[in-house]
Amino acid sequence: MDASFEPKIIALVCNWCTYTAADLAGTSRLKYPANVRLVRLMCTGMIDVKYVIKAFLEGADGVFIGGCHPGDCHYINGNLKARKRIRSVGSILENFGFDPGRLTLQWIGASEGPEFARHMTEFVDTIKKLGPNPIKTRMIL
Amino acid sequence: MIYGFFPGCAYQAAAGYKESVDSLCNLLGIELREIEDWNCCGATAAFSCDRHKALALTGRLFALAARQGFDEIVTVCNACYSTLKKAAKLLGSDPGLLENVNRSLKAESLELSAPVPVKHLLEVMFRDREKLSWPEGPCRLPKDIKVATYYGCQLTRPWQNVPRALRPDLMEQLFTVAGLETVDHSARTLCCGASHAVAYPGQCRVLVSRIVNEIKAKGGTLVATICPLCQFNLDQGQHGSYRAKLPVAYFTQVLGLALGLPPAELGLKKLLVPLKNIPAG
Amino acid sequence: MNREIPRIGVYVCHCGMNIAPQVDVEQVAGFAGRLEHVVVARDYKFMCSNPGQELIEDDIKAHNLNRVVVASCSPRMHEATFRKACQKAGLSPYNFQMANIREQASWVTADSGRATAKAKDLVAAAVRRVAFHHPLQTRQVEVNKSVLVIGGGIAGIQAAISAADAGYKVYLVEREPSIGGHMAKFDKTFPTLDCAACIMTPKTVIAGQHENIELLTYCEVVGLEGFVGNYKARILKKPRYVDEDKCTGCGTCMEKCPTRKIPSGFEENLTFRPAIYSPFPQAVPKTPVIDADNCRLLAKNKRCGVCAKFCEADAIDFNQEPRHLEITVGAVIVATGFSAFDPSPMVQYGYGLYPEVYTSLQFERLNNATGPTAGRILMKDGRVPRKVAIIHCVGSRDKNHLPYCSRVCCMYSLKFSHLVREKTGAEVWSFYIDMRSPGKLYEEFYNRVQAEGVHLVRGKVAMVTDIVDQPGSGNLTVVAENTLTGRNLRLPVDMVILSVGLQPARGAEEVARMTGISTDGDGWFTELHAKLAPVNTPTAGIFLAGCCQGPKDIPDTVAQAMAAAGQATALLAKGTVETQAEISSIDPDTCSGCRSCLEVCPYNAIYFDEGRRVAVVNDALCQGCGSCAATCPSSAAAVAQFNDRQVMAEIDAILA
Ligand SMILES: Cc1cc2nc3c(=O)[nH]c(=O)nc-3n(C[C@H](O)[C@H](O)[C@H](O)COP(=O)(O)OP(=O)(O)OC[C@H]3O[C@@H](n4cnc5c(N)ncnc54)[C@H](O)[C@@H]3O)c2cc1C
Ligand code: FES
Repeated sequence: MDASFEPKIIALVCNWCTYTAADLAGTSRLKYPANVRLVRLMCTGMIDVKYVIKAFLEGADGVFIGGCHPGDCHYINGNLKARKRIRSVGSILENFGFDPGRLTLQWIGASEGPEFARHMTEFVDTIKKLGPNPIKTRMIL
Repeated sequence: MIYGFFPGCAYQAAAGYKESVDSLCNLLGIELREIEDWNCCGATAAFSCDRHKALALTGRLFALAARQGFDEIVTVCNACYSTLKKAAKLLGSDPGLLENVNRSLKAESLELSAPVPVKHLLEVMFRDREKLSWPEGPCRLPKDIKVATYYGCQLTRPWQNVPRALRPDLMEQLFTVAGLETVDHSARTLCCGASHAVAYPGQCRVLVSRIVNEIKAKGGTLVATICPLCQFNLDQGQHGSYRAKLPVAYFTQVLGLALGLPPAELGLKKLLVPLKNIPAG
Repeated sequence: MNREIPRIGVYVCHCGMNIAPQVDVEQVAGFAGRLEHVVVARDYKFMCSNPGQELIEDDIKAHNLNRVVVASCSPRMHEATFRKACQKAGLSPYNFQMANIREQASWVTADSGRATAKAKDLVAAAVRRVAFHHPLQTRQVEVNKSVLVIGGGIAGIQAAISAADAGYKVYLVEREPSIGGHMAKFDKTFPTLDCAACIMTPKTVIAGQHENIELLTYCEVVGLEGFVGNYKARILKKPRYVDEDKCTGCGTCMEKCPTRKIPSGFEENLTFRPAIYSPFPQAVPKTPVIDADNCRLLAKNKRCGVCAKFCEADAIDFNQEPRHLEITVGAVIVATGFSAFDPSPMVQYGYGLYPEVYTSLQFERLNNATGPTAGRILMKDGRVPRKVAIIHCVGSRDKNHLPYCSRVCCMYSLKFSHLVREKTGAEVWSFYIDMRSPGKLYEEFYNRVQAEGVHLVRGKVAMVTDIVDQPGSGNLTVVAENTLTGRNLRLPVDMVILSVGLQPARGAEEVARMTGISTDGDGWFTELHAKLAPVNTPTAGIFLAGCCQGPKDIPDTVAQAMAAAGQATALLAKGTVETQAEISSIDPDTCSGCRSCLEVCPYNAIYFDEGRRVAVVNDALCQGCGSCAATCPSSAAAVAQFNDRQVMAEIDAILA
């Protein structure tokens, strides 16, 4: 593992739970690795699989998807649709040459600031272990 | 049922514990297979002097039990129980400690990968109660003997592992299987002060009399214990008291009587406060 | 679509010392200035201040900007502020984007260099994205001029009265047979020792008689849909078996009912009630209900009907069935309150084992003039206690049960101390962890009770037992440590009161799910902002009042109830709401008519136009969740402000 490797991670998160949790982590001044870039969406249910694939093809080392806990989605069940969709992308990632561990979906509720920071730290760790996105060094497709 | 048995140092000399455990297990179809070459668990004393040695003592037991193919260790003593549980918790959660212990165990070419779960004989008998061969027939204990259970303080603290940890009723439930009713009282898990019996006998007497008085106040005439230290301390702790004394027996002795085992096979003669009015045999 | 060339202004906020110096704001502004289409980039101390906003407005005019990016705090905080500023300068509020470099960079990144780098990425993403923004249309829709209040405790009652007084129709839904909630059980209230009934009954009566309030007691809300200004609620009206219009509330039925041994929930099981009952004498409405599970006729199919025989008004109706009502309202106030912690699992305190161990609510009844002892503090054997122990924080501030402070228990325990001293002269021993008495006149009340000769012992009680050390000294012994003297204590007493904590009302989760309110780790409903939006929820038009949001006393509950009513009526007074712009649309030219979107839409907001063979979004129903957009195989569906181009631009810029 290259110790100097600083991954870049795209986090696609819903406005109502995980983005709010990130705000709470902020107001609570919790520190977590600076590798994560949040993209705010209204609901995980609007996450098109092409966003995920696009992020990997553009060189993201990891993609984190964060939404409300089952039952808490602001739009009833967007998170469950997201789960289904993300499972299916997960299964084809390998065919593209990406380790499926680079993609994760987690439920982080609005009041779970510490959980948010913990998930970010853990995911950055996981990605550091997996190393850089192979697309940066190899041609895929 | 076959259990991996850890008798502990106090068992052999305890007033009729061994006799009654042997006859009761024989009756119910339990085989206690002793862990070969077992050693003293070190009890609370070892932990308060040298944690590494304490963990080595207990670690050795776990390693032996595992090597002899036991997936749980059954004890008959609250102090052993508590010591082993504490060690299991430490060794199970701190790989550094486990490594240390393994370094000591190497001398005997033993190795420990994970601690073995620890159970009290009362717990496993209760858990497996439906698989035991209970003899038919009514309860043989004379009706005028009113049994009160006493669990001591180390079975549930701090583990909270049995339901209603501060007022457990495992023994009560087990006794009902043998048709034995018990009296309800509030001293079930009070500390009797056993480990201070030598250093602070005065304080210890206060604790013992609190338990004895409560049981008497609630109508108990016989105490059922599950630990050699509790039994001895409650039994001898009444020495010199003016008031009527309360006999203190082991749960296996009480259960044995209820199931009709002859008193002679239960080592009842060894109790300091004698148990009267039992059918001769 | 208007393909104008973007002219973007970027504004990087210092937020005083909150963003700068951790993020090098000048560097970020310099970086932004070099990004494509950026015309001006500045940094400023407080962008949200008036001069900060004017800076943007002036630049829009001076530089002819058509897009604006502000890099500052969370859009959940100030997006509306800056959108307004854009609008003031003649720019569409939707041609704006925010980069959150405070909550996501300066506050959470230990290393200043990395915080700056992250801030740059976030700004670049916002700039790239905003280039694809364009003005959106909204409509004004009419607001239904009525309010639904869920829960008829003091919070719900007050909210209902305030909204009704403002001239709006209010539906007050309470699941019990009477409104009143917990406060109806009290006799006195701290810190003033006002008689609870004296201050509460006038309110319940007003709520019962107000021309604008429709009481729906013994009812539950079972469904809620719609959006701000237009919510549709489905209400289950449980059968009372008594006709509310005919019943005169005379009470003869309750006297004659032969089934009398049912533990009374209102009396905290200290006494019994008949099968036809009204929970307490001042119940509103007075109409009793028949408890179908215990009625001889309804439950056991026996011949009885005694109540019907004696009812002169002929109000008993054994054939009532559950009914459903549908109502439409503009706003909803949730006021479902709390439930008291059940101390039975804390076996060490002996509740349920020893008859003289009471919960605080039981004590409230014991002390209440209408309670089982007519307000005399007596033991079960009828004797007056000589020594009473009160244990604070039962369940509260306890990792094993409720980790938080329940806020009212210290105060009501002091109230109990006073009442026991006053009514019985008994010795009172009150065991606390920390004495918490913040609030107007609370510390004074604490001092007063102290002066009344109450023993206040700082220490958590280890156990309550019926082991009696000295016969005749009391039937219970409290074992505790006095942590101020370092002494252990074995205190013989006659009676023990457990000051149990507060937890969310039974069924609160269900209410949260229905109304889309989120809950915190302990199950309390979360407000939109802990300080600045204490009665709002993330869903527009749904407000919170009282203990459902967290433990609080009556003064705070009432204040919050009035605030919630104020917010709700402000909404109704405005008369219209702007529809959300961020909703979905389906491009009819691209739609292939596959209907996948119809299946995933949670609001049934998409219909299929058979003529054109395309799917169409009903923009009155669409909430903008984007399920259709993510599902559409031909990318015909898109949510405004979250379309593929905009999201992809953001991702692109981050990874560039
Ligand atoms: C023992 C005790 C003593 C107290 N003494 C004082 C005091 O002296 N002074 C003081 O200031 N505060 C005191 N408090 C605090 C006081 O009780 C609360 O501040 C107050 O009751 C909160 O009112 P509420 O309306 O929010 O909740 P509640 O009183 O709990 O009312 C909520 C109502 O909503 C109903 N409800 C719940 N769920 C639903 C649903 N799904 N559908 C329909 N209806 C529903 C309930 O039936 C209930 O009627 C005391 C609290 C306790 C526990
Ligand atoms: S709103 Fe959070 S996942 Fe749907």
